[in-house]
Amino acid sequence: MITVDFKEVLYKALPIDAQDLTSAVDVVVVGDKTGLEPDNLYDYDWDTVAIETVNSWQYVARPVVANYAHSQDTTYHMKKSIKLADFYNPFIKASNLSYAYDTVQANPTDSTLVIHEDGMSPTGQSPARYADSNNSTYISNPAPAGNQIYYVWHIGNTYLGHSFACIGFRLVYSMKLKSTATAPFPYVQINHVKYYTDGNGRQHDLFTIGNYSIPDTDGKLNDIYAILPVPLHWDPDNGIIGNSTTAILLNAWDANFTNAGDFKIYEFFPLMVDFSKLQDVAAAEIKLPATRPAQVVVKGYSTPDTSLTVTGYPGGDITAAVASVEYKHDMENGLITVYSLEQSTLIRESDYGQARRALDIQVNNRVKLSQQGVKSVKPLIY
Amino acid sequence: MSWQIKTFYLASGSLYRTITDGVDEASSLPVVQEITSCTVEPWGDCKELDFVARNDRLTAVAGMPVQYLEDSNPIFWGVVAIHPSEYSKGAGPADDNADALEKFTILGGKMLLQKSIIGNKIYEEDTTDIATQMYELGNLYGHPRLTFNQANFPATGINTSILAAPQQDLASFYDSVTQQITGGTPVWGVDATSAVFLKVL
Repeated sequence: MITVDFKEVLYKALPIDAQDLTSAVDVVVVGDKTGLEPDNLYDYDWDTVAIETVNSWQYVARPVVANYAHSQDTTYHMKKSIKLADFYNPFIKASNLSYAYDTVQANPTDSTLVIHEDGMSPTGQSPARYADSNNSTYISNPAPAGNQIYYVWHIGNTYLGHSFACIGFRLVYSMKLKSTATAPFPYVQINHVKYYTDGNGRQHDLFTIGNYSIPDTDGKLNDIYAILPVPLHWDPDNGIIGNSTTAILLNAWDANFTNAGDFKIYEFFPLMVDFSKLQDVAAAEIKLPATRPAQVVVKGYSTPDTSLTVTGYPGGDITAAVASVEYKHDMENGLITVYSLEQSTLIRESDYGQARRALDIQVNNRVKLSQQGVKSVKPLIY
Repeated sequence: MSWQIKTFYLASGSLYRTITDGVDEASSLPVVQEITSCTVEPWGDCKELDFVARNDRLTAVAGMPVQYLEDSNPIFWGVVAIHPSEYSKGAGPADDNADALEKFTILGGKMLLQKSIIGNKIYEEDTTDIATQMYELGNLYGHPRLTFNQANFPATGINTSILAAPQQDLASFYDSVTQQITGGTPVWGVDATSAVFLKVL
């Protein structure tokens, strides 16, 4: 900390500029569906009493947003929406996801990803085999016996709440289909369901389903992903309140393969948004007004420092954060040091630093995926 | 002729100080020296108000609503954008940074709409008038210090088949949605009583 005497320096108050005041921030992680395009996409309302579709919609994505509100937001209500930087991976690393095996459980209600697998070899493998970012471990189809190979990643109710954390999948695989292969061809399905009770107490299941066919690679490795946010009209802002689940399914008919090992899965895991980490990014954008910005000019050289105290100031000493240090040398004054104190733009500098560090770590991790995973929101008016 | 500056609590919107003819009604001390300029668009949207005052007495903070009245008629409503520190006692003749010590810049209510982010409301296959949609979205997501009244959004006879603007700020949304309106020049703004309005000139 630098200490200077008020009598020895030139102290100039600066105005408080609050035009960019921000007390709450929304970070748009994903604005629209992206990655592999679905072959077909359904968005409909299934009436569970009448057992029929009662409504269907043109799919409009609900933006996936991480938000942060400063405690002073209740005073200011100044909000900003930003797009996540292209190189930031917003998803939980596959190796940090927790999995549990499932044999029968149809509607899991906890935060664990429940995996149901059938037919693939070797059997009973831990998910580490295909969610370990390691392209030398895999599971594959056994010698064809006319079975349907069937995988399910089913995400439970309570975990999702309204945050809709699971929005897609990533699949690294190799596949060699028979030349005489017939439908159903291998595909992945993202299946969002929302359980909603209407004003008449009638139960509805709202479905949004995307089906993605897995391209044949003639035995070569391929890396695909797809992101399908839940639809906008499911939001409580549109009067739809209820729990939701997301299932990610992979289906393949083993009669479409000639030999064991014609279909290998190296990586297959759900893309779950890491909201807690993204909150740091949002927090870094908070800008609250300074209380007493000023410029202090000291004669001669004074070392750079992050904090400065002016003693002997009328009404009491002032201690403030230093926003910038500037040196000037001219014929009249020789060398002077100019400290700018408390610029409003530098509030929460330390948090910004933290977010930047988190970001640097993420840059090295799956850059390719996140580059394409982020899409901004466009307003729809037509 | 009597002029007034009223300031309001940011969090609650209730009256904070009334300065009549430059003098604070509560303390009887001179506070506001002069109104330097006040700009309002021809259709009533408040743009900018500049005045000179001692902030150790006015104690205005960033974002605080300010209203300017002449003979009790509202002339301008806006929020504090640039202001001196609350420790500032004003400027003397020797101060070469007088603006930093006593100048206030108040921007019109549009500034608050730039800081209001639209949420996840969607109108699907809807016949709601576009003006009503503007009113409803403003009412839902607008800054709490602004007032929204359906009567200030007269029907335009235009509707959209689908309308959603999640994560857009209300100001740019209003700018783009008014382009849909035909049969005149649509304008919108915030008047001298903090009410948001739409007009087709």
